Amino acid sequence: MKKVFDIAFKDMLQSFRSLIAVLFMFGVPLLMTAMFALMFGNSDGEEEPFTLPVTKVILVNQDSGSFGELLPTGAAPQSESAASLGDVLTLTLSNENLADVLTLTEMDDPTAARAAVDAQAAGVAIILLPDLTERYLAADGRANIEIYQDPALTIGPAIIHGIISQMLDGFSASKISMSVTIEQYAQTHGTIDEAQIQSIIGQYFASAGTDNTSAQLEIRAPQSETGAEARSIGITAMIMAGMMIFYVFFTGPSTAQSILREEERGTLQRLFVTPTPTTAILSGKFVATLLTIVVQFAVLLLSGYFIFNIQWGDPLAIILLCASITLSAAAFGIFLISWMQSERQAGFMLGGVVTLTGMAGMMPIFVLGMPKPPAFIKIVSLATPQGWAVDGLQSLMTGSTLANVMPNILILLLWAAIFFIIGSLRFRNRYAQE
Amino acid sequence: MILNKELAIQTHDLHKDFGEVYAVRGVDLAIKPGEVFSLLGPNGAGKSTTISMISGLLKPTQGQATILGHSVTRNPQAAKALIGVVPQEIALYGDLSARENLLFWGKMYGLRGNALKQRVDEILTMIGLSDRQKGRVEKFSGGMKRRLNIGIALLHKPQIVIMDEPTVGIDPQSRRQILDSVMELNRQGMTVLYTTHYMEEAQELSEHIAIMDHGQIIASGTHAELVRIVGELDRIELTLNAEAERVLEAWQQVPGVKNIAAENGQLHLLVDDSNTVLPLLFESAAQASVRITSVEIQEPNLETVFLHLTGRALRD
Ligand SMILES: Nc1ncnc2c1ncn2[C@@H]1O[C@H](COP(=O)(O)OP(=O)(O)OP(=O)(O)O)[C@@H](O)[C@H]1O
Ligand SMILES: [Mg+2]
Repeated sequence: MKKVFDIAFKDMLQSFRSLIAVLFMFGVPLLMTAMFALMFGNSDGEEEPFTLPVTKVILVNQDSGSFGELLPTGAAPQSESAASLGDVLTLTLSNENLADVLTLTEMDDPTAARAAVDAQAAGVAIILLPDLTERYLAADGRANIEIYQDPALTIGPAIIHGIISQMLDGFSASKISMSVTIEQYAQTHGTIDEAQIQSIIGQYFASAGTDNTSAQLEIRAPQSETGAEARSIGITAMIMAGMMIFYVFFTGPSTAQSILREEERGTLQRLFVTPTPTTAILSGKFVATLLTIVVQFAVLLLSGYFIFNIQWGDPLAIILLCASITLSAAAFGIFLISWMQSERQAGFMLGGVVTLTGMAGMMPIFVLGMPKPPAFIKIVSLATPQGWAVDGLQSLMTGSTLANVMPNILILLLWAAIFFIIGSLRFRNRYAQE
Repeated sequence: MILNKELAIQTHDLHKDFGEVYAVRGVDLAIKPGEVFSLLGPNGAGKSTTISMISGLLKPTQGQATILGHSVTRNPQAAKALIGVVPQEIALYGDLSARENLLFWGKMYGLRGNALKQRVDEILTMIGLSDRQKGRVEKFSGGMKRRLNIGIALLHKPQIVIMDEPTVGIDPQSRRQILDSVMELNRQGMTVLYTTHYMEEAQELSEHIAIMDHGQIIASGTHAELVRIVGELDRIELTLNAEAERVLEAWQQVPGVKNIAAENGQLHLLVDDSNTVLPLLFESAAQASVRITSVEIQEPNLETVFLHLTGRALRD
């Protein structure tokens, strides 16, 4: 049993002495994170995670509709001065939360607005057409908005698009519940006056509008939509989590590779002629891989916390999650290496399989900026152990509890068991005295 | 096989096939405690394969091997603890220092703590690497690596040391050191199984020698016994100023010539009596317009035996 650790410590001594190994274990992930931290600012989610370009927006509100039509029959408002969807959009876009992303100028003439965009005096012109409210309240619920943009700009207009469609989505949901509320109000109070209706509508739209706009500006993990005290995560933290997982799953195979290296250099054969059981030798290799990853995790988690001020989340959950990741990354190493005949072959494999699965697992991080990432990204990502690891870390960073990431832990342990059983059986057969 | 627990190493009908390659084909060895036993044979004879089976690295296709009565297949841990193996290829961790290598391998042989440290110091002194113990092995010369390669096999003071061509590819001085240390170890009571393709080494080190070729032991015994196989034959070494092929066929017909082998422009002949055969060879060469540029007549030795038994020279 002692020999298992003797072998493991010898392997670790060799790994940590290798400049290349250390570079890939700590250097590259930290460097990449630092690069992103410099690019996007160092954020723990409390501050603004992104620095986005400020877009000049011209708004032409021609909407002549009124929410009065929303009212149940019999409670029709007396006047025509009720707020329209156009008014609400105007109000929302001029919300101070959006000041970092856009500056809003109101105009009356749509032609002048388009001309301003053409002259590059503005990035986007939003024209709320006269029948906006009317069309929106109609059965199909399509809003009628023209967005006229400078073709040379991409990010700014895309963000404006995103904000508006988010708002409209939110309104659609509110629309249904709102009419229900008004109806109930009318039933319980017998009558309803315009001021009351205005107040109900105002509350709904104000909340719907602000909620959605702020969500648009934050990077949120999927869980954050459900949890009431959900936290947003900074881009640096997400990159660090992704890098950490990518390189932890790189360390697994690259440490397990020492089996092949020893075979090629003849030291494995030499080990086999000492009175050391094959199981102890192979276990030593596995323990070396495990411990190397533990060290790597510890260094990266602490550097993340102290250098980049990353809040990893509930410590116990993080420890358990990382333990399950460690097991599956080490077993992943044993599994992959068991299919390799030579160190050279393993080199190619490290470049191929590890990079592919690692990238697949990290895909949700690459598409963080997208308002609606395609569903297949999540599916592909969760087809790899790396995907479950990234998902778990992401989830803990947004404030999830141990119970929330239990599925991740269990699935990672399942991956670990499968990898380990297949890999170790293959090695056993391979070295069962030829 | 009649198991003799007294024997340091005993093998019976040892076979090893690698698919179509029959590397070892029925090897019987009986090595007594306290002797230096040499396994002499050319490249590819099957020496390393035999040793790998004895040391428990390879499983025999057929037959068995025991170390002081412990079967290497049925009781491998006990058998392995009794032997120290010096592999033919240097097997060391280049990125560790000499001392770190010795400490690690000592632990693999079950040594720990002070006993381990003390033994490592002793070995470092024995192999003359005390000054360089902190140096990384990858920076060492070939001779230094060879010595460390041997030192590792001696850490646990094994009763039996198996050395596979430990002097290959090193300078004469290091080679001398190694041969001296083998004799010193033997004086201290260690049994040594030594493989080589240098007949001088076998002759100098060993009482008992087995000559191996194509996976089989073709002759074995003491040096004197082996030489007696060739009886009164003389051995002649010749060089020509032309291709050996031009005289080879004619010389095979010369009365008194038993065996001819050509290698590297040299001709090795076994003859009944060099005094009568040599004039005939000169005559035959002259007829073929070939000049003999040097002649050497030698006492029969292991080289002669190998030539006699196989028709080939031991070294290629
Ligand atoms: N793992 C293997 N797979 C296939 N063939 C092998 C293997 N190991 C050895 N052989 C073959 O078995 C034969 C004997 O090889 P072995 O290494 O035992 O010879 P040797 O006497 O030690 O030679 P040398 O002096 O070159 O070390 C050779 O033909 C070799 O090619
Ligand atoms: Mg050999």
